[in-house]
Amino acid sequence: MAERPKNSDLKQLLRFGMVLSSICLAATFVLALTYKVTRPKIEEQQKMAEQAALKLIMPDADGFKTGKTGDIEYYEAYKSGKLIGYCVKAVGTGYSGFIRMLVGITPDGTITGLEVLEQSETPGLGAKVKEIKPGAHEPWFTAQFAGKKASDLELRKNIDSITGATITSKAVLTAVKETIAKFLSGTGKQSF
Amino acid sequence: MHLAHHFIKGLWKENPTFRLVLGLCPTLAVSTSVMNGLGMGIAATFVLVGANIFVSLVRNIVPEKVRIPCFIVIIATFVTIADLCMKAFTPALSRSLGMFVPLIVVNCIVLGRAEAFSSKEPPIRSIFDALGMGVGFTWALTAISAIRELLGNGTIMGYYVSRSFEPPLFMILAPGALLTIGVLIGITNLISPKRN
Repeated sequence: MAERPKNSDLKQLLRFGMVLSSICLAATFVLALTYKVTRPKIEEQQKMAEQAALKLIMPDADGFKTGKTGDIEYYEAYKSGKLIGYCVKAVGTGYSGFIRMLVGITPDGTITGLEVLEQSETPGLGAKVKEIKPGAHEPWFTAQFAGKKASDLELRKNIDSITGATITSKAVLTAVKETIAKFLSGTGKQSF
Repeated sequence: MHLAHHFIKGLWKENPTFRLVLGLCPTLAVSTSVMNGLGMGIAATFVLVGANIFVSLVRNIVPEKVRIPCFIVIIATFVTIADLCMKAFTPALSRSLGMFVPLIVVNCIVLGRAEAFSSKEPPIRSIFDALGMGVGFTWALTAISAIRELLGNGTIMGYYVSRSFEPPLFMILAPGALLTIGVLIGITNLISPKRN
């Protein structure tokens, strides 16, 4: 049989609970405040990063409009009111986490540019997906995609993979290929 | 005089990385580039100072038996503030440090200082202790990062230093971190006066 707790024990327990919960309450309040202050800034940063990427992969466009087909999010790119292409969001499963990308394509599926927005690959290996060689202006790996048809992409044939990072290279390539294929069939259906 | 002593001891005599050998997990993981090392050090210093102040302020209210959860809540609060602020104001750094900013919560330097120092000392002294430890951690991390980035990637702060050699990749991976930290601890042991 369990011993009945003494009155002083209960009091002590109550005191522990009170101290802990008041500290937690204060912490909650402070965090809620910080979240409220930083959230618009964080969203703005994400948007800025995306806008910068849009400019890089679709340099001719002067306006973008968001859209969604199935579960694929994309931007329609316009130049003086005329639709010149799409910037499609693609997500690949890399070696250590997701690789989020933005792919620019013309309406017939030729890639105009590819920009990695977010990755957490191994530094020195997979992280070279964003490596800019001295003297160059853009990452060499993603630059290879420009000017090629998404459906023609093939590793080691027309795309050099990153040394020691086969999984990363494959993940980027597969994600681009599959997302664009799905996107093109999706917009095809939409247009009739 | 005394306050300065609390600050200075963290820089060398009780340097968290080289002398106390604490917080090695984040040290191994983020010391791949000087930018990462510096950013991590500054974030950890912010958390150390904030947490130390508050741990010291509540040290007489918090019962001994529940002190660890109380300290952890305080530390976690500051870590989350640091994480949100980095996301908002330094998004590039936040992306490259990734998971390791939230993991400052379990960095043993922070809990170690709360337990060993600020839970027994008044706030002003705690601030100096935290600053000393934070700066000590930051310079140690920056030194390790500089060596690894230079040897493993051929760059410093992202700028190419030399193209005359193909950088040995292992310096930027985990073995390079262990090697660098080991050699640096060896050197600090050599310089420091022998303990009896």
